Amino acid sequence: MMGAFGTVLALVGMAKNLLSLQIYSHASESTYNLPQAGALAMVLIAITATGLALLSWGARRLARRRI
Amino acid sequence: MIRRILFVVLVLYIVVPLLMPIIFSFSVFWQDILPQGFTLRWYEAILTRPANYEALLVSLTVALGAVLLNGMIAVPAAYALNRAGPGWGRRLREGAVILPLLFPPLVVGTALLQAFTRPPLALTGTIWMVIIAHAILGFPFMFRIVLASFQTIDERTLSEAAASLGATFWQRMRYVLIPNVMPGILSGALLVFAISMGEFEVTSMVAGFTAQTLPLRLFQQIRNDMRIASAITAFLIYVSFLSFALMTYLGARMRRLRAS
Repeated sequence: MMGAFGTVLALVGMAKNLLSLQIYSHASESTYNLPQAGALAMVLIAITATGLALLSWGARRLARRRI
Repeated sequence: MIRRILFVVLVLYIVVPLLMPIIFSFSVFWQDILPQGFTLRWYEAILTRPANYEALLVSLTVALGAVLLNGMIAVPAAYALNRAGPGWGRRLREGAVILPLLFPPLVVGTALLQAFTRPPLALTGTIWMVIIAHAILGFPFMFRIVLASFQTIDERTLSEAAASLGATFWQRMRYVLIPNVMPGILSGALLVFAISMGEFEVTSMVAGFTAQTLPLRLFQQIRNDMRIASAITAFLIYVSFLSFALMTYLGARMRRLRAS
C-alpha cells in the first residue's frame, strides 16, 4: 500500500502530499522530472524493503519463541 | 455475540462499499437515502458511447495480450525453476514470491517510463507498452500458481517415463506436462486477466491517448458522470467475481487431481 496512489488520486487529487503521489507527479504530470521520480522510487523501495525485512525478522522471532 | 458484531462490522466495511456502485449503476438517480428507478441505460452507455466502447476493447486486448505474454514467459520459468536445485533455485523461487510486494506498481511504472522512452525502444504511450506493463505486474502471480501446479505432480518421473517411451522434449511438454498443470495455467491466466482489467496506476503512467483502458475511462467519468462511472465500476467488479469463481472451480479441480 506504500506505493498506492490510484485511490488517493481519485478521492482527493493531488491535495495530499504522499510519496506515491510525488513520484506520479514527477513521472507523468506537469512537474515532469524522471530522474527525481527515479530517486523517490528508490526511497520507496528502501522503505518497503526495510518494512518487509522487519516483519520477516519479527515473524521468525515469534516462531522461535513458540518452539 | 462479539463474533456476530465483528462479522456485521466486517460486512459493512467490505461488502457495502462494493455494493454501492452496483446499486447506483441500476438506478435512474440517487439523491435521497434510497436510489430511485431501475434502468440499464448506464450499461448501455458502456457499449454505445464510442469512447467507452473503445476503452472496453483496449482493456480486453491488453488483458488478453498480458495473459498470452505471461503464458510464454511464466510457464517455462516455472518449469525451469521447479527443476532448479535446492540452493539458488529455492532463493529464486522465494524472490519471485516477494517481488510483487517489494516493487509496488508505481515503481514498475517509473522504471518502464525510464526504460522505454528512447529509440529504438520508444514504446511509451502505445498499446504495446501497456501490454508489457500488465504482463510484468501479473507475472509473479501467474508464476506462483503455475509453480505450485508443477510441485503437485512428480514432473521428473513423468518426463522420464515419457522419454523412455520415445517422446521428444516437445512431445513430453505437449502430451504429458502441460495437460497435468493446465488447471494451474488457466487459474494464473484468469488472475492476470482480472489484474489487467482493473489496473489503473501503471496504465495511467505509461498509456498514451491511443491506449485508454476502461479504468482510465472510469477515472475520467468520476468527474463527468458518476452513473456511467458506477456502471464501469460494477462491470469491473463482475469481471473480478467471475474470475474468482472460475479460479475457485479450477483450484478445486487441481485438489481433486492431486488426491487421485
